[in-house]
Amino acid sequence: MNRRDYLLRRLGLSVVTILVVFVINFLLFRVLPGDPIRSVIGRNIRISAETQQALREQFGLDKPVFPDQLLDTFGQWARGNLGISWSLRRPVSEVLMSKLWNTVILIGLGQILAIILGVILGLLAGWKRKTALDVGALTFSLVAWAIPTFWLGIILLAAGSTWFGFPTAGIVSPANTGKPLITVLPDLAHHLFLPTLTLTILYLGEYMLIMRSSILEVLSEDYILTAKAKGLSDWQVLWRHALRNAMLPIVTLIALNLGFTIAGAIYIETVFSYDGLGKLFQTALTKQDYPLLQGAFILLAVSVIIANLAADLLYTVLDPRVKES
Amino acid sequence: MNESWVLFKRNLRNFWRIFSHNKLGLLGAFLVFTAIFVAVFAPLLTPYAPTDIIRDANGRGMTFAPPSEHRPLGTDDAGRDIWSQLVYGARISLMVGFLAGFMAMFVGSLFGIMAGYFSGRVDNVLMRITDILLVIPDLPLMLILVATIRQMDLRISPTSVLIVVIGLLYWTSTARLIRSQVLTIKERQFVDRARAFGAGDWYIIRKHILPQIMPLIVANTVLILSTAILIESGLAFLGLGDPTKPSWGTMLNFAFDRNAVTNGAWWFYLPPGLAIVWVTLGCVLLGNVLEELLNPRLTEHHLEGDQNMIAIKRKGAE
Amino acid sequence: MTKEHETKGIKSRFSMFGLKVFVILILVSLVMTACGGSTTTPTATVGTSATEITPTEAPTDGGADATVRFGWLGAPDTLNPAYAFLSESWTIFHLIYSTLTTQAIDGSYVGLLAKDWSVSEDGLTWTYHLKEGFKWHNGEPFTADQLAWAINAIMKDPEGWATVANYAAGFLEVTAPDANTLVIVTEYPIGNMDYRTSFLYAFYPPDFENFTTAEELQNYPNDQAIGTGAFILNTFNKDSGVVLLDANKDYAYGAPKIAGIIFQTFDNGDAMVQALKVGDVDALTSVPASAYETVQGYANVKAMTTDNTYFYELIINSVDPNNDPAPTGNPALADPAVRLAMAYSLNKQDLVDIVMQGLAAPGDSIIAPAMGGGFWHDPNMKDIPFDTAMANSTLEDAGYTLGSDGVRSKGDLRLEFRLQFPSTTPVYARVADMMVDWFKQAGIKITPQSMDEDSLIAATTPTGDYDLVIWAWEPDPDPDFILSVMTTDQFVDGGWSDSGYHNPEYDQLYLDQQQLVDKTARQQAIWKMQEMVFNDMPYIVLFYEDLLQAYRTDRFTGFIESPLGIEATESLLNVTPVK
Repeated sequence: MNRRDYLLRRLGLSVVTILVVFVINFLLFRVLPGDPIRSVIGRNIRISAETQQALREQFGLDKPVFPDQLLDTFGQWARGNLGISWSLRRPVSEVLMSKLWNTVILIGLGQILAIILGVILGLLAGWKRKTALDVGALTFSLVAWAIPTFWLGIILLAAGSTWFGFPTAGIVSPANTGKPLITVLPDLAHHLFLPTLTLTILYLGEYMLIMRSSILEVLSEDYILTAKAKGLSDWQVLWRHALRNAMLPIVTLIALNLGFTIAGAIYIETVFSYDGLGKLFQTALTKQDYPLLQGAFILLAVSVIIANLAADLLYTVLDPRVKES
Repeated sequence: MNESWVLFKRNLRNFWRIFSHNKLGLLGAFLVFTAIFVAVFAPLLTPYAPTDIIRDANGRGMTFAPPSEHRPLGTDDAGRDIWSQLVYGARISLMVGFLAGFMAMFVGSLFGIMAGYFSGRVDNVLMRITDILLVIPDLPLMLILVATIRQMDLRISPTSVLIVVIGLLYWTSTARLIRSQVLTIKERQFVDRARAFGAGDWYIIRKHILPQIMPLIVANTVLILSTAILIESGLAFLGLGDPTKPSWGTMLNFAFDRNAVTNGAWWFYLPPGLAIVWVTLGCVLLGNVLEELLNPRLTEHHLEGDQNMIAIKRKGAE
Repeated sequence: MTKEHETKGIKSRFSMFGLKVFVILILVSLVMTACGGSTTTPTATVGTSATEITPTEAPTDGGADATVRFGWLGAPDTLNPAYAFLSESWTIFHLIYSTLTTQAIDGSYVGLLAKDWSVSEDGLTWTYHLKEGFKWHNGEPFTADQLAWAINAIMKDPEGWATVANYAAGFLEVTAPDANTLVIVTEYPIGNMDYRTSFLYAFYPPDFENFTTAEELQNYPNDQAIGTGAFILNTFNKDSGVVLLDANKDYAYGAPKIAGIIFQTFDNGDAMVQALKVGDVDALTSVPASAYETVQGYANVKAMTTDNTYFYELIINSVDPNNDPAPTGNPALADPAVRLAMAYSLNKQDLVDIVMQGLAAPGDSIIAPAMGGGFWHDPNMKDIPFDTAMANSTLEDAGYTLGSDGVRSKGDLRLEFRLQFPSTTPVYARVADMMVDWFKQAGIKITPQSMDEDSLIAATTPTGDYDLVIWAWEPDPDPDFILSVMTTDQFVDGGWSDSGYHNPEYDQLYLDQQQLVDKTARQQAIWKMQEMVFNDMPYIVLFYEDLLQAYRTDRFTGFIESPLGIEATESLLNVTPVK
């Protein structure tokens, strides 16, 4: 099919997916028996039965689920109003925004490093095929896949803090809390080191494999001979052509990876107590703070959906084969 | 009974011939079978039950005792033997992994067969569902599903909830694989011949298609297992497992919550993770090799198996 | 991405465009991270949000060095006393606000705003003479009519002042005959008046005057709170939960010797403990039990344990069988012999030693010895010892014979119970595991089940859909609250009774003790109530959890160890920097 139809279909699918996310989100928490308010309050002795009822009214939990709550809620979400967090007593969107950048920094840095290291390692591995380096890289890739994210985090946390004095938690030291991150970059870097290292180790395997197979393919091409005849060094030839080759899958992998990276972020932020969206999600889960959980889920899901759509767009732009047929 | 089964048996023989020379595959098989062995024979491998408290000469419970004080792996925060928890935990981790994996495999195969065989609208709908599921981020979706189901007064054990949720979300890669395989088989002659003789759809599926794709299903199941075990450990680590029947992930959850890191109790948080890596690696190695050997379309690839790993990673890694 | 993406690349028709895209992506990401964000965001909703406020002045006199930095695992939810749910908020309130009376470290109540007070013969009129010298944090003088206004505000709008309304329950009229005298008239004699007045904060009336609805009142953040306490609120950062307090130089009892206090929130125990170890914080209000021993070993750190009123209990379904809906508890639980046998089966010392790492004390009464300095705990109760043989013989004598499956039964009754507990902390799971073994030795079969707290609440109150539950309580300093948990009235939706205990004699005593102003008489009533609970066993109290705290000795000295905690005003007023 032609590009336009393809894009329209993908766009349509994305919209449907977002709707599905909304519906799942809504259904899950509103059709529960039991009392969601109690989960936040728990056995808090400061909240009497009357106050609980007032809270229920405040959060609209005393209205019938269909259609009132459903329509109300969808309308709100579409407008970006994600409700009020029960445990934090602030608008959910405000809470999400305040943690968003922290996660973006962590994930962004981890991915970038994974790409850079992966590409370089892949190049070396493909070039020096079947050597110890290649085998080592492949093994590493394989084993890294089998390692649970959070476990690697715990090990690096224990080793890093005991032997190298890295901090065990937070984005910045207690003394620097609340200051704009730009002003405390060294402290931030110090805190980011271990979590980023964990992410990088876990993700570089894939990029390495792509680059490596791209190298292997390039190596078997005819134009290599031509290029060498022109006087380019092995290295230059490999690099330029293999990189070009690997570009498309790498770029699409970044978008694809967003889903896994979010899972990784949830685990890593929990282990390192890194104050981002992942930890927020986990805390909301533990505290059973449903508005926060819902809001975070919508944000995460919609981001991934949009990223995938963007990847598709990019793919059609970059992949000449999708033009016609 | 007919061509398909003959084909099947021949494939099996060829397969074994090749497999027994494949080092990685053998390693994978070794890892997996030792884990199963440990799980099955757990009571024979340790004198303690996982909840037995280890006491010193004065009768005091030995909490956080290092391996030097209590072999082989020391004790946890409540004075219980870690090696015992590890071997009994194998039962839970593997059981959840297997059941969830089988569920995913079953659903995936069913959908894949239906989509591939019936084509048309059925195919469309199923593939759209797959697309949608693929895009929604797994872990957050699983977390809220588990949280919700546990709230509903269904009297399902936490372990069963995990099995169901993992099974319901990880069938997509299997479905696609099976579907494309079924599409190929469908075009083969004997299917048309069978239909010409008036055979019904499900009969054809059962007698002709299923035996052909069974090896693929088996191979894919092993790969799904690795994912299921990883995911279970992750969810258990986040506190969604059953604390009365600790899996390896639950052990790690306790270790983390009870300050094993601060106490320097490496014997508490290292072994369960190593066990997870052991089994997962085994399943991946075994599964990769099985898939290459059993999937006719992939036989021209060499043992690097990049494509498989990436295809799996797309719906596999956490 | 729906199609299997190819690992085989695209041919050379793919120009440098791809590379450019790649580079751009990298640059964009770098730019994003560099311009990254603050932990507060410029897009936060505008308003009186605390994120917009920057510290007005740094602590003086020794600067940051003389500021005590506390670490804790929670954070205040709001600084509005009308609607604060979390205990961290209340810790802050006690530091920035003053109350008529306050609890001293020995558990008794002493005057704070009040220098002396008396009650009339009929117990209905309380007269307080206020101490001179209290000033609001903004410099204005504090007078009795302002406190009268505050208490009246609470009385007039108990719905709005949801979390403090109970403390003014039964008040009829509050007046200030002169600037230094306050008179409270009550409907009925109030037995724990001192405790009540210790939670009625003197907040600054102008801040709260203009609200017309309860919702308006509750949404007010009060992040620039003005009080008369020993410390002044500097900032409360809602994003990070950090609270910064400055010392009040004009405090009526003398200025603190430290410049201020910072309360820092940590998400996990390991991180918090690490921070103390490296000196990022000076003190911890609560050390996790499983890390305590390690913390004790840190250089320059003093860790201490104090008796506390928090307890863990085994709840035995005591719901009235005629209740609607009918309770699903095993009928065998109604047999006192079965309860007694269960009590004999429990090795509380083991729980303390192993699950709590020795940092607790075996319990007997729902009122811990630490409550009110030991005044309320009934010393005449003798706990049931751990004796498996007695457990077995008790059951045997009552007619429960051991079956071939190791479980006792008597006719239709079979000693097989569900044991449910919250999934919130690993402690419950550990306790449950040990109980399974102990009960098995007495011929009782237990099936442990971990549940969400929400589901557990739904199963207990007011449904009675359980057999046994393990849970815990953090009572208020006065016995009234924890005693109310056992009343029949509290077995309602949203109420506190999880056991369903229904004893009319107990209920009457509860009402009685509420109105006994004479402390000794009240004590007698409360002792009797404890004995009832102890004998009927709706709860078997397992242990009282110690209060575990720690502080660095190289920075500050003078922390006072007591059940009130080192973060209590009395303690902090005594703290000085180490020279």
